Amino acid sequence: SMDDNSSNWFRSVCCRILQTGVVPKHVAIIMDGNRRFAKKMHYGKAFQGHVLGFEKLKETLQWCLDLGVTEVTVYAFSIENFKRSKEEVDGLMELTKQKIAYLLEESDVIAKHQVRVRALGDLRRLPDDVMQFIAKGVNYTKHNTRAYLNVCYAYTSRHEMTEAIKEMAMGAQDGLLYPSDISEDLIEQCLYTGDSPPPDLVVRTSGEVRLSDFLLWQSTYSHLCFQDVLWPEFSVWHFFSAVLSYQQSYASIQQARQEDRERRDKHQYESDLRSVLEQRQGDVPDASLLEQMVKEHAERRRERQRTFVERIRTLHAQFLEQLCPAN
Amino acid sequence: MGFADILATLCLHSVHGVMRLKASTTYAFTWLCSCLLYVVKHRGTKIESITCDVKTLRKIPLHTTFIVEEKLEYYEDLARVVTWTFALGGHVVSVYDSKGDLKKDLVGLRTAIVLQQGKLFGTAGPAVQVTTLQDAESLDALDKTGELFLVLVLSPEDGRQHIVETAVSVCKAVLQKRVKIEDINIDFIDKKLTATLSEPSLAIVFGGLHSSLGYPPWHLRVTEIHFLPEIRKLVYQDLYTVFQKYANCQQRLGT
Repeated sequence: SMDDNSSNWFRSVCCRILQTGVVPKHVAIIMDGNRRFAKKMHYGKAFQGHVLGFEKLKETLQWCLDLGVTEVTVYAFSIENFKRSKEEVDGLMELTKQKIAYLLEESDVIAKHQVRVRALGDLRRLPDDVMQFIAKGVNYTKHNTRAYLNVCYAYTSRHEMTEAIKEMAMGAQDGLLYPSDISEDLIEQCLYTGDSPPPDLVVRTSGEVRLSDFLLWQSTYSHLCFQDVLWPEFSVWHFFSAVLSYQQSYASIQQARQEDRERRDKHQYESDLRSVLEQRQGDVPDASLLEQMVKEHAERRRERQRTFVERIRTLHAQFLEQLCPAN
Repeated sequence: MGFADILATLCLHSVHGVMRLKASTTYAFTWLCSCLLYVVKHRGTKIESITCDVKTLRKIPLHTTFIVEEKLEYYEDLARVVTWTFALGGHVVSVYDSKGDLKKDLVGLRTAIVLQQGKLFGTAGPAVQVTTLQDAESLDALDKTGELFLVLVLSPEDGRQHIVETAVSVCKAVLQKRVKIEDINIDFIDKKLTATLSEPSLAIVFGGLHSSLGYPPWHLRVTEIHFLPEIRKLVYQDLYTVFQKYANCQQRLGT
């Protein structure tokens, strides 16, 4: 219709204007407010709120891709959500299966933009049939490389960090890692989001002002945007407003990130130096020889870390692949 | 750059300019209102008035954290906020800045806080301990007295770096067979990370940046996060408003 066309045109113009400034590469969203929306509209059951919430996710993904955001991470289902009524949890599981089936058969957004869908979380907690659907969806899109949609499912950040520590302990036990190899960078690579850059912008809808165990480690230098709108009512103008506020704080946050990077590098250098001196047991060589030894130690450390991270990523991928019946 | 690009860039700069102008105007307006209502609203200088405010709050955060991003020339403003928080019923306050400047001048900060405590509470006021995590004894020991207010001064080494150190010690314990892999779960890690620093119920970020800037990430799981402008512009009413919002929030915790 005429109205739709003109509003689409206006939206494209605004999008184009925003693109002259900095566009976040990775946006994370806590899609909160489905149930309150269902209550507000007197739907009777929360389920209808979740259905609309999924439609809103599709729309938002389109807006992100149009703007030039290449990675979107969403908080779909928390481990804490298992505490909800059986009816609601079963409904959400059923909805997940329906939507993955839709993704496999009909989705044009995913195919057009070559979006790779990944599932992050403790998937083993899910019923077998849901796990298989998720595995199929993830495998279906695994060759796409232009954009990424990370769906946090059966996820909490604390669980993610604990699993990373557990895996590093197992790595140490298996002789793949020394305890001194553990660093902020290594932990980051061991998290479910290891392949992704940190989120630039975190948006939470529904007016709540907390992170609720979502990407706690990764979002520590992200721009946080809490918006007082229920998720199914989230509009492109709310999205643009979040991006505008991100642009305003970009320079300061970049500076803080840079200082954090320098602090980390300094820590890493000091840790490598300590390890070399410990091995030498007090026998300190001259400065240039010491530098050389620290460099070599760092190279060996990086090699161990690379092998270890490779192992974890392979194990994660294999877990999902084995859930899919032969292609 | 084409003409369209130039026009688009100008548009964007104008929009940002308008947003900044709106933020400053809103601040100036609320400042003006506070001045005009000075007669009616108290400015946090009398403990009796603050005690009345406490009665209006349904719940009060036990541990409040202040994330400060501005470079502070003096600590009077920060000390006042800390003192107001104690007057409003808080027991533990942590202060964090991403450059670690506060930790470097512990003596200056301590002096400023003790001074403000004296001004507000008088000589009968409770004692305040200002310390770092590295020097703090376990919180349990301090809480038992009930009469002590605790201020913990944090820096980035208490954030992700602390999680790294915990991971290293867990790995060493596994190698020395003091800990089994199966024992490593969320509660196990949580006990180690919250031994000296509890989870804050409320976080206020000063300085206009909407980010936690390296604050211990594990601890921000369900913390209510609010943003306020620079601390030197802060009046008591701003803090009380945040406390009211906290008192009225509902934490569903996933259910």
